[in-house]
This record gives sequence, structure tokens and C-alpha cells, in this order.
Amino acid sequence: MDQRSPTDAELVAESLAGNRDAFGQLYDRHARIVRAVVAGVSGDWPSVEDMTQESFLRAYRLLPKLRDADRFALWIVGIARHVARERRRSLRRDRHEFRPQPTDTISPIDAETEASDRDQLELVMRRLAQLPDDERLAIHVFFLEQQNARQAAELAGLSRSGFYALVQRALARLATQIRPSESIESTKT
Amino acid sequence: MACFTQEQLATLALGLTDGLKQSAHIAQCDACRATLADMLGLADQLSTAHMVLSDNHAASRAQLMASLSNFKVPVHSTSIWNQLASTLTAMLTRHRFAAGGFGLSTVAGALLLLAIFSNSATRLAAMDRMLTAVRKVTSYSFNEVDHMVFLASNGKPQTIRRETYSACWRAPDEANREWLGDLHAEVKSWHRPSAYGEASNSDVERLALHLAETYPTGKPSLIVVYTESYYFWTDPMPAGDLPVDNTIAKLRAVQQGQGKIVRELGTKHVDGREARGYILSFDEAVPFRGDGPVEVWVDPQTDLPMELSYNRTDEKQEGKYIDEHCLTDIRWNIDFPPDQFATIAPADLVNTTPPNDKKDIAQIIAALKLYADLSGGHYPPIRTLDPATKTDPTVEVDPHTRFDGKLILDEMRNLAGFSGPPNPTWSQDPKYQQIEAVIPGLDWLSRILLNRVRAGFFGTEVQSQDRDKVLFWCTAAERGHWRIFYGDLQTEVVPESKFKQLVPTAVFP
Repeated sequence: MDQRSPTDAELVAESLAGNRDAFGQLYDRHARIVRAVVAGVSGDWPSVEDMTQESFLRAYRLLPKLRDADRFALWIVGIARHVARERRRSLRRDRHEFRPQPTDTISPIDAETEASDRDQLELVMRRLAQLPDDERLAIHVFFLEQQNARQAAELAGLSRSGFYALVQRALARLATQIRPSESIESTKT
Repeated sequence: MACFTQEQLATLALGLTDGLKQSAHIAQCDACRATLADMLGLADQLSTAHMVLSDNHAASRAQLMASLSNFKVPVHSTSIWNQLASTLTAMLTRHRFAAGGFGLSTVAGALLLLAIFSNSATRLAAMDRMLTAVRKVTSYSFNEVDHMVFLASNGKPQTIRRETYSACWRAPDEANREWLGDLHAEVKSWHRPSAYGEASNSDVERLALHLAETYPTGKPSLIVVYTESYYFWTDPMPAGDLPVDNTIAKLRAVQQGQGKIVRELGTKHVDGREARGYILSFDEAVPFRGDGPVEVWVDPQTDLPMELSYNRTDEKQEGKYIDEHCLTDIRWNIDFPPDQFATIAPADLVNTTPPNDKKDIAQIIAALKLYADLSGGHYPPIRTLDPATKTDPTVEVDPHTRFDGKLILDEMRNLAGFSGPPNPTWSQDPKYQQIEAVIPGLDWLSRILLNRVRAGFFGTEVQSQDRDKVLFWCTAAERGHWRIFYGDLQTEVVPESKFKQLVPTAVFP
């Protein structure tokens, strides 16, 4: 029995033959790096999942144009970068929404208990968005790979030592940027 | 022992090194211990934030699979009409690639082809020169003629499409590297009705598409579709916004040394100058796959191509399609007149650009709301055609596929009781005044909906209580996004993934 996992090229061919589950397997395989790339390039953390979906949908639609199926990973990363750049540009623009404000409200007590952690996390992600592109991407890859540095380095296309240097520099810079005076706990006291 | 640097502590916090070696110092040093604790906390927060995405993977995958069910399996079309219709639709929807992008990649490809001569040592110098030349090109222009010939399994060849392209491009300056540069391109596409099986005028060509696009660097760009009598404004073209077989991909191919000369053609005169000819083959090399052998005529003085031609062949069940491409009048590093990339909207055509201003959108909503109020919750019974359907010449155009604001206005007056010969006293009636006040909104809808590729209306299917159904959609100012108006006239801007779910019949620019 053949235990070998299908290659990306085989999954692409199956997808083109109408097997959507094959494309689902490509998603399983590459969603993490796509998330890292869209987060890293756009700096828009709350929209990461939307951008990831967008990247894969575009990839599916453009699949017949993929000329070298073995390079699906590089190709989807290129699409993800494109989607993220669009997002970054769109964030600079004004929006005009006619959507009514949500009527559901959070109770004051719930809000208070959740606010501290959420605000602190938001602060971290906001500062993360301000890091240089390569450092931001390194952080996202590292944590999306559940801190498996070897796999993260491979995904980032860097040597292990190069990736280590990048991610440690990123964390150090981030720690420096989140000064005690800026933390939510401090501002509440 | 000296205190650790921030980066050394970060290494420990990230678990990238064995912390035991440094533990003695950490245990004794309050400052290092505090900083390390902060970093560990930070790493925990980052881990938590990212974990949410991993935890949601299954749900996200399910959402993706549901979205895919709205897509047809991406396969090629199987009939002559579909072959042409898909090309036309692609041109209308991806206009920036149809003329400019196509030309851009083709000509750049031509340049690069020449850089690949050197499979032998004696040609290495020529390759270096060519790569240098490629990188120094700052502008160009060219003309191109394409013929699509259909070769039936048991019949004679027939030309089913003829197209002309012209394009000119100028590189952006350093400050504008984010953009593609200045680009102007124009395409005309003629089809032979006989190709669709029509009995009469079998030899008469029909101009199926005449489109011009102008992208000044980093500025609003103008697309004019003469055959549809409209134009629209769109956002600037970013540098990376090109097809997968674009210039960059071809550059990579060159750097990888793909392609080889299979034959030298000698010399001939092109535009009064002597040119050297070559046949180049790329076999199945990416990204030239499918282009077949490429014939290039080169100016020996500049090492830049003067003419280039190749064929693409597409074998289908019903026969073979041969698409012949020939580029001529290629000019390099030229100075364009100041107005070459000016965007001037044609005064006699309709501007179909959707609004982005709150006030304009409110006018559209007001017009549709009043119609619904007058008609008991219905909307104008218009259902715009899907673009690919409309471009099929065998399809009769039903009047109910066009949103005519004047007809809708008359209908609203009738619904409100203002029927028969016009009466001067009507203008004093508040209801009549209310109807007159929504004319701007109807005008917006009439204009926007002329562009079937970038807008659609489902008035035959959606009523005012249908809060989850799409009544009207159009492209939004935000790139890659669409504005949706639901049956209850709430509106929002959505990305492609959501739009595809909401309007599966739409095509995508």
C-alpha cells in the first residue's frame, strides 16, 4: 500500500480534475505560511483569516494558470503577498458604510473582566505591526509553526541560524517597544 | 558575568537555546530575570494570539470548502463560442491584462529570449550584454496582430478571431517603484459570425471589443470600452499586479538559463535596418510553456528585438485552435509626448464608475426604497445578464436586462397615480416631488449597470424583506472589494471571498 503523501503537483492536478478535497489538503499544508505572510505584509492582524481565505480562493480560481505545479507553495505565497498588499493599501482609505451599528452589547461587567487581557494583546499586536517587515514575518511564522524553529526556518526560506537571528531580534525589539509605561496594567494604576 | 543582551534573552525566551548554561547568572541578576520574565510573557501572548488561528483551522477549512462549491471546477471551455467568449470576458474583466499586461509580458519576454542565446561559451558575453540591456530599458512601444484559426478535425482552417494591440510603457522613477509605471494600451478584437454558426454574412467580421486603458503611475486610471459605449475609472496598477506568466516570471526563467536556439534564420531588413533572425525553443519551460517556437528578429546594433512571432495551440475535442501572434514596430527607450499617458474621459460615452461618496450611495438607496414603498415591497423587475451570456451574439437581449432610469421613473409615477398626460398641478404634489427627488439615484443605477462586468441587479428575484439576498452589487473603490446592497437596502463592502458566496454568477476583474 502506498503510504506516500501526495506531492503538491499531484494535489494540484487532482484539484483541476474536480477534486475539491485535494485543494483542501493544499490548504492544510500551506495555510500556516499564508497566514504568516498576510499578517506580516499587511500588519492587519484582525483580518488574517479573511485574507487567508481570499488568497486560497484566488489560487483556486487561477489554478489553471499555474504552470509549474511543483511550485504551488511559492505561488500561493506570492498570491498572499498580493492580497496583503491590497489590504495594506485599502487600510489607508476612507470607508463609507451604511451598516447599522450592532445592537448586541457586552455587559459592563463582562467587558471589564475581558478588557485587560484583550487590550494588552491588542497593544502587542499593534506594536508587532510596526516592526520591520522581515522581523514581523519571522514572528508570525515562528508562532504559527508553534515555535518549531526548524520548520519555521524552512517555511521562511532561511537558514536556521539566519532565522534564529531574525526572530530573536524581532522579539527583543518588540519587548523594548512595549515599555512598562505603555502596558495596560500600568495605565490603570 | 556581564548581563545578557536583549537578543540573548530573547533567544532564551523563544526556547532557541539551552537556558541552563545561563541559569546561574539569571538566578542572581534581578534585571536579567525581570527582562526575561517580560519576554516570556510576551512570547506567551504571541503564542496565544497565533494559537487562535491554528485552533480555527478546521472551521476555516470548512468555510473555504463551502466557498469552493460556488466555483465551477477551473477547466477550459469546449466550444468555439466558449473559446471566444472566455477570451472576451477575460478582456473585459481583466482588461489590464488583456492589452497592456499581455503586451508587457510578451515584449519583455522577447527581450529576455535574447538573453538566453548562450548555451555555448562564445555567447556568454552576448547574454551578459542582453541582461544589461533588459535592465536598462526604460520605455517601449509596439504593435501586434493576432489571428485565431480553428482547424476542425475534418474541415478546413477558418480564421475566427483577429485582434490588434498597441501598447506603450514607461518605467516608474525610483520614488514610484510600487507602481507598474505609465501604461497605455488599446485592443480591438474582430470575430467572424460564421464561427458561431450564423447563416448570413458569413464573411463579415464583427468588432466584438474595442478597449483602451491608460494607467498613469500611481494615479487614477481610465478604462474605455468603446464597443459598450462606456468608460470607468479605476485605481492605479501596482508593480506586482501582473499575470503569473508576467515579466518577473520570465526574468527568473532567463536567470535559470532556460531556452535554446534551435535554428538561425540569417538576416533580413526590418524597418530599413538589417536584422538577425533566430528560432528559439523553450520546450515545456516555465513560463513559456505553450508558446511554441519563437521567431525573433534582432537589431545587431542594440541587441534588442525588432520583430517577434509565435503560435499558441490549444487542442480541444472539436478541433485545434491556433493563435498566431506577431509583434512589429517594437521601439525601445523612446521619449513619449507629454500627453501620451493622459487620462481624458470621452465626452460622448457614459461614466459607469460606481460612487464611493456617502451622499451618492444614499441617493441610490433612496430611489430603490421609494420604488419599494410604491410597489408594495418590490423592486424594478430588472435582472441584468451575466457578462459571458451577454457577449454571446446568439443571445437575444431582453429589455428587462437593462436598467433604464427613465422607464423606471415613469413606472414610479404610474404607481403613485400620476398617469396619463402630464398635469402641471402634479409638481405641487408632495408625492410627485418625492419621486422627482430620486432621479439622481435612478441615474446612478442606469449608468453603473451599463457595465455588466462590474455591476449587477436582481430586481426580479429580490424584495424588500429579503435582508440576506443581494439586490444590487458593484465594484467598490477599495481594490478587490465589492459593494453589496441587500434586499432591505443595507449595504456593505465585502472582499472577494464573501462576494463570491453572495453573487456566484459574477465574474472577477
